[in-house]
Amino acid sequence: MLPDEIKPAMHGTIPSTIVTCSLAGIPNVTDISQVWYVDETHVALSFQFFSKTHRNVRENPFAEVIVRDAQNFQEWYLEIQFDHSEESGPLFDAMDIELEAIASMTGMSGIFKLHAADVYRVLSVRKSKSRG
Amino acid sequence: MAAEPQVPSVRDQLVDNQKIIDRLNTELARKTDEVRIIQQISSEISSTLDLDRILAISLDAMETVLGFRHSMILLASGDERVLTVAASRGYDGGRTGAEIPLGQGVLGVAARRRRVVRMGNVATQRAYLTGVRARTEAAGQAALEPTVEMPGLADAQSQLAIPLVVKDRLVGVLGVESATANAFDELDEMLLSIVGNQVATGIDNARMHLSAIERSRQLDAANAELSRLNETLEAGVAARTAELSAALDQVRREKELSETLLRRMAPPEVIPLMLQDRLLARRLDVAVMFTDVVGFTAYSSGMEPDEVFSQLNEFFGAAGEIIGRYRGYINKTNGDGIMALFGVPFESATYRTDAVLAALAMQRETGAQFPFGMRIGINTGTVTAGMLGPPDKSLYDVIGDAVNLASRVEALCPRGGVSVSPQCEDVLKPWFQLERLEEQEVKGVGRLTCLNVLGLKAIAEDERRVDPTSRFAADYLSVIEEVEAMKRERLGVIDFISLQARDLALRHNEAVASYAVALLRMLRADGADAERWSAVDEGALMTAALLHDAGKHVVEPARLNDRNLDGAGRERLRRDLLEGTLRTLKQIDADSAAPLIADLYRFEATRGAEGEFDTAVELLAAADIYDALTAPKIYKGSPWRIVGALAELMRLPYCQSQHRPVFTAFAELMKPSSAVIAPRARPDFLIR
Repeated sequence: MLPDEIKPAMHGTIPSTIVTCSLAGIPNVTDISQVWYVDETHVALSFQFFSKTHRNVRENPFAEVIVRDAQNFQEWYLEIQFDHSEESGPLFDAMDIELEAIASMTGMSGIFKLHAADVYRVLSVRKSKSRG
Repeated sequence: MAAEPQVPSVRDQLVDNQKIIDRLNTELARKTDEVRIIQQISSEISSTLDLDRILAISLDAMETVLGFRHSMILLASGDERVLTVAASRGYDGGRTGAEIPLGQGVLGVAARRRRVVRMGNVATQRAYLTGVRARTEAAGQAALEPTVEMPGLADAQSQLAIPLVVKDRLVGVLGVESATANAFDELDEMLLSIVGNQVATGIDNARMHLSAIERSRQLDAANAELSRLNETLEAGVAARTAELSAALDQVRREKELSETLLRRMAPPEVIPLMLQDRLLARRLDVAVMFTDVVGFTAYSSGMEPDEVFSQLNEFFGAAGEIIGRYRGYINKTNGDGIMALFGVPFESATYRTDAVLAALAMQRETGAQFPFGMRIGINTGTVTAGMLGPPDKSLYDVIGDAVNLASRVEALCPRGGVSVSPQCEDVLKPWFQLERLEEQEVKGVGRLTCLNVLGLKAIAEDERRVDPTSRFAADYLSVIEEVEAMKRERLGVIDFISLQARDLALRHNEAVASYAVALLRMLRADGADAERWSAVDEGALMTAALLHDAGKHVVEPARLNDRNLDGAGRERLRRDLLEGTLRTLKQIDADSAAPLIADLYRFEATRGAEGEFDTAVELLAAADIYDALTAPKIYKGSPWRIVGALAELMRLPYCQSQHRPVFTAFAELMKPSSAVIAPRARPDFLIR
């Protein structure tokens, strides 16, 4: 489902925007540093803090995320559904290492800790209209 | 159900296929390149153990082959806590020496986790977290660690870090970076991982090599230090040794000085006892010798005192040497006279003949230096010997009537003569030609008929060695002349004087040669075993006999004359004598006699108890031992006779177990015609 050309947008160069909604129907929009490409039908988000986003998807697994390609500013709209959470394994390690690398550079090793890799199933992909 | 499939046009299909083929070709080309590159880098790295060279090769390959413009290799410290940039490419001024703690930044985390880290958004992520940090700080929510400066590009967006690990050991980390986002893809990661493996192994090998070199250098340094210490120690030891040996030399000089002084008081043998105050007076059978230079007072009255002293001292020196040669001791001098003792400080079996031999030698060697000659008188008897005189001036001295009589005998002696008192006659008669002097009245003694010693008898007339009724005397006396002739002709160059004086005086070597040759001729004449006797070379036998003691001159006389040698001492002396003899043989070009003489020594060392010997050795051994046994000494209180000596010979261990025709024949040759030689069971004598 996810084409190869979306990969550059998932390198976290430009922050992504995620929209979630609580069970009560109250939406929440926030920027996140990176959406990870897992495979053609899955992406992952890092779970570091107990944020509103985190709380919302545990209540209501559906969310929408916008990722952006830094080379051409192409935006992609993804409908996603929370699937499961990984606290170890290759995906978790890869995300953990990158987070650790950056956090250690900014003196925030103790604060930025990956608690889990939250894996979402991709329900749909939509490329935005070109911004010519 | 699936939707109705849309059928693509043939043209689209072809285009798609071509695209796939092109992509595959491109990928194939890149893969091929990669393999080639990896092989190239790998072989370059593995061809050297030079760490700097490995780093250079690796980073050069990053730039020129792989196209990575910014690269660095950091090496982990031994405790794996710090990474230090060992080499870098693409940075102004380089980054060598910069450090980062393990676990910090992309490189630090890759090293700590030992995992490849590839990021394409480092700057962005960093900026994002820096913002979070600012908010966190503003809220005062947490105490934060300081931000860390990374050694690479300040604005690196893409970083690829490969941990360098060998067998679980962290060697370091290889990093490439770029300001461009997402500059490195999965293929780069794979490629660099493979290269990283090579680099890690190369660095590890080089480091092990370096540390081996370092260990070897440390070992060398330790060795150098050790040898320096050794040298210092040696120098110290040498200095200390020199100090000690100087002190020892000093002590030795002082000891020598005091012993020189002591030797003026007593014979050297008793000095140790004297120093311990244990030298007790004792009774000894001795020969006392007095000498007097005839008319010395008149002769020297016209001379300067210096001249008198120097001439006398020269004489005393020469006389002392001769007296010492025959085991005598100058007790004192009185004007031009000498009083000498033989048979002191310990009992001797040969003191009478020793005194007479010394006296004859003195007349021969020193008498001529005085115009009116010299008188020498000898008496034998029992005296009391010991330290005599006041404690601070005591001398080793003897007291007894024998001393006074010796002085009287000297007074009666004709000029140039050697006189002995009558009681010596029986002992001296066998070897010496004696002449009875006129009877004289001697004060305090009565009438005295002294004997004048004319000289040593020739072997043929020497009844102690050669019985007038023996076969030797009857048939083979002329052999002695042959031996003398051969000695003159063939061995004339040899300085026989330098051989032991006593042997020379007693013509021991000539006697052995004569007996051996006579024995051989008798055996040949008797017929039996003709083949055996004809195998012996007569000339070689004679030469060996004449030279068998040629080494005596290399051994100090004191040692030759030492009667107190134990078994080991005798063994050593015998060995030194043989060595000296063989050396002398070489010097006088008579090496051919060496094997025979060596066998003779071997025979005598064991008295033939070990092994069989050649006929020539048997002939020599019989003659040599016999002449030693008949030498002028008092053996066990009674004089040896020819019969006793032959009986002893037959009691040699060599003759015990087997019939020894050579020895039996020798007894036949030398025994008095009427005597029967009856060998006894056990030998109980020593051959000296």
